[in-house]
Amino acid sequence: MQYGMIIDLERCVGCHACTIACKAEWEVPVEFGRNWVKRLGPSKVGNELASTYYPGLCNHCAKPPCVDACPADPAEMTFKDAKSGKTTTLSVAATWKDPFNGTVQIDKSRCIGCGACVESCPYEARYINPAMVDDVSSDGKADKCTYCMPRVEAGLAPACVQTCITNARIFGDLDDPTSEVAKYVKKGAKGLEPKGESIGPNSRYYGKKKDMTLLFQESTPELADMGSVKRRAMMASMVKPAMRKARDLGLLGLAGAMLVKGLSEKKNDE
Amino acid sequence: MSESNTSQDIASLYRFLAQCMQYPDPEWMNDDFFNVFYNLLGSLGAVTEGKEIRKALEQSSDFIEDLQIEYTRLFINGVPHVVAPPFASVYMDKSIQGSFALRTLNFYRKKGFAMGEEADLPDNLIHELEFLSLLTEEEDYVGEEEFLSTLFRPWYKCFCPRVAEETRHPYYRMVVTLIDFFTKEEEEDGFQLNEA
Repeated sequence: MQYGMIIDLERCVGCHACTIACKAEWEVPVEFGRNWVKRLGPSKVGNELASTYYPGLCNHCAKPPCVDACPADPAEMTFKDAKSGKTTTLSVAATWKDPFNGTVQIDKSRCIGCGACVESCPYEARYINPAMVDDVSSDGKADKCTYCMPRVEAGLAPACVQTCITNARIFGDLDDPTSEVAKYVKKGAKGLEPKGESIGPNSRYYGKKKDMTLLFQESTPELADMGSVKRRAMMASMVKPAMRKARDLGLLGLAGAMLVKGLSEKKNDE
Repeated sequence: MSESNTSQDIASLYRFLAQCMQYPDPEWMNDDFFNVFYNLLGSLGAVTEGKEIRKALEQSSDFIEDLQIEYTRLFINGVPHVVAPPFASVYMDKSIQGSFALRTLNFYRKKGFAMGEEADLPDNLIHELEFLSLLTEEEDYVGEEEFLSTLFRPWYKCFCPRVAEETRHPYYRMVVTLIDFFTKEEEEDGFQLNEA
């Protein structure tokens, strides 16, 4: 099973009801979003004028870079297939891809709030929620769309799907050929792959050729340099206590601070 | 936001490392400084090295003077020659203020920075670390990586072993090792503080 979402651009009217429903359902802080709707165009595509929307969310990718980026200590987790009841135990970091339903989830209690997953997601679908603090992280916890798994497990549709006034968002099992989402894929619904990469996004788009062209032109992301993302995350988590102490004590910048300063600042001084 | 917290922590780290490389002065090299320094070593699992430094400082009648003498010998004016001048050009151009220093200055300018009036040469280790701190504060990670790989690592990897092997004080051995550790690319097997 692989849960996925289709967004039918032909039906989307850009009303943002999905983003509001999501915020309300999951108490997402105002400045962040688990999903978003961006207006694209009007722009010339070939000889036509195109105008559409980019309703985005976590793609619950087949090969999620965010999962690889997580530096939290792995722990054994047992997963259960909702349909068959079958279980399997895997060693996972604080974020993982569910082996049964294909969604990408986060264990908030083990998330160290380092932000490596946030930086590694080419879609900018993750954020650090500063309100979620505990002994493991005083910075907050990574958060993102879960495809509303708690709702889905209770037999409901994801909040954004339920609220969509034009039924532009369709949710289901991409592996089930009889599902509406699988039929859309057969008709040509496509995910936004990062430039030159293949990570298998499972939130996919369907629309007129010109609108799809505009969407892909404007919204194709790039993968971050994972080596550097990991290096920063490791560095920050290792030095955090000492550096916060240094800042609290006013130690930084006592000697020789700002020997390299902004050009504009220098001009102002002169 | 954690992303900016991460940047702030790394920016502070670069600035702290720059501080460690300043000429020893009791104004900043005080109990608070060593408290943070040992704390940093502790979080990296370098407790033994921390103890060695603490012992060297405690056994000295004037540890600041010891460190000043060693700093001068290593980086300013040693006899018969200075051990490891902290300037990129010395290693890349075999001269002081060579073309590598100019390339470094041009990189600062490209990123909108200039040298302050009391600054040393642009390719001075301290300035380079401060510059990395400024880039990180601005979350210019691409710039940080580019600077590290093209202008910092090429000379630092020559400078670091020279200091580590020739210093007579464990403090400087540790400081250059820390800078090395935090500026090199992640190794396949993760970070190794002591490669030996």
